[in-house]
Amino acid sequence: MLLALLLLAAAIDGAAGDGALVVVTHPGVAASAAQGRNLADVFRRKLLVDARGNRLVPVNLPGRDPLRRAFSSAVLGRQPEDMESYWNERYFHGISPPPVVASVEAVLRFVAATPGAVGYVPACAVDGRVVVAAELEVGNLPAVSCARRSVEP
Amino acid sequence: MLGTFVTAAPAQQAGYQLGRGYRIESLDLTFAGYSSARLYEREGRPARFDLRDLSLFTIWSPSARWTVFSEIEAEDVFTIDQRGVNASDTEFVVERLYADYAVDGRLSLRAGRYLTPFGRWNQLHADPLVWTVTRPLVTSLAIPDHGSGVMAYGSLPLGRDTLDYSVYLDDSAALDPVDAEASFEEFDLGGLSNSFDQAAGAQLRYRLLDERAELALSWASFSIDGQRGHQHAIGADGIVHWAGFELSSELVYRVNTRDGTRDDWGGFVQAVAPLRGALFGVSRVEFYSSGLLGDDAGRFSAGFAWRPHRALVFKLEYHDGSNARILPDGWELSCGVLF
Repeated sequence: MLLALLLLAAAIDGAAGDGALVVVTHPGVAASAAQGRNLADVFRRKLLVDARGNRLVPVNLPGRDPLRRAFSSAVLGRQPEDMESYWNERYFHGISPPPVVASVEAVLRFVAATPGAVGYVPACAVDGRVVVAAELEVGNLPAVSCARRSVEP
Repeated sequence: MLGTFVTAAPAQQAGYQLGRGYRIESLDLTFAGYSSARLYEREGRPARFDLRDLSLFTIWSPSARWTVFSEIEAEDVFTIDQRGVNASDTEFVVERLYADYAVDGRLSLRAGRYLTPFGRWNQLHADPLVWTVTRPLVTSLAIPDHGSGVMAYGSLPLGRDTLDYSVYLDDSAALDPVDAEASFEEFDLGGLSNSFDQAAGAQLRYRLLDERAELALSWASFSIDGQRGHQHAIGADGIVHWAGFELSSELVYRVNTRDGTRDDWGGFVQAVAPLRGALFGVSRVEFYSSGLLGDDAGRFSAGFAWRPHRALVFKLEYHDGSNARILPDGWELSCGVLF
């Protein structure tokens, strides 16, 4: 009976973890760059270097990905399609929007391989390749399976 | 079965993408730009077509802190009017050429030739970025559109809002060998210069509502090539975007210290409304009273803008003005593309 209760508690805890979105960084990125208000400025590409002078490289999921939309709404207050004029204006001044990769696994690979990279993934997808810098309060986070998903080439 | 294929290659980074340029990732080098063509007919003048702008940006970041930016523009690449095709008036202009150094995340230093941070329009004047073919007079006449010198700028967080700042010192007379040749791009105002000799200025821009709105104050104290005396200008501008609608305005007051010359002042208010899909209706009223010209001019403009792609815009507009010499009546059609 005790064992069953422990297993149930672990399952509930795991389910809560599955629903959280976390900010992940390449090792070496100053944690403060990916926390609080700085995170929005990293993804707006207003904060281009961290406190140590290292370049910051935000990476996004595609605009229609539910995780991207949840992140964009929570952190930037706008959906990706609402920011096109913003990015056109930034582009005129030589600043391009964050690169986009196709999947959560691709985010993890990009962040692991790119100095200064900052991304976001479901908490349950995190592994030792990246550093968790923050957990996000995201309302209506879509159900996420942390099984590594096949992605069409 | 676990996934067998995932890609870590950034889908929107390397290579070419319309409106985002051509990027060579290994060199941290981007080539980009914009172009615009215009067909117009103004009061008392024959219709004319011109390829007005062809600008090439080169953006290179040799290290985390350093970025070099250049914009080389070919102006008046060719025109077609009742006399035929004319491609002999093409001019190549260094619109912008500067190096940026990021001191930290909130402060950067710039040295070189840059767009004067006064008002909003001047810093985003490219045809694909604005809603109208023509530029409000107040954004051109009140203060030269370029400077050459040094600038400090950055963004400071204020809760969810942001305060952008820029402070600059200009010595165009010494630093910019072609500065004295600068003219007004849209207006034929013989005798007036569009060049600083020396200037100092600052701008504070408050961004709120998750960057859906901006309020800004600009100040500049400057001398102008070929004009005696020192001028001072203050400006205020604002913009709000919501659900496809946009309302914007700029106001400027310029104190002319030359004896006998009254001050310049003016402004505009512009509204944009979504009509259907990517089609928008645009209207603007503007007024400018110029002591230097000894004249006043007002104009109402109305038209449409169609944006079938984020990098492409077609515009049609009609003007009805009060001063044919400065702001003639007429209609204009344009196509602008960021490439």
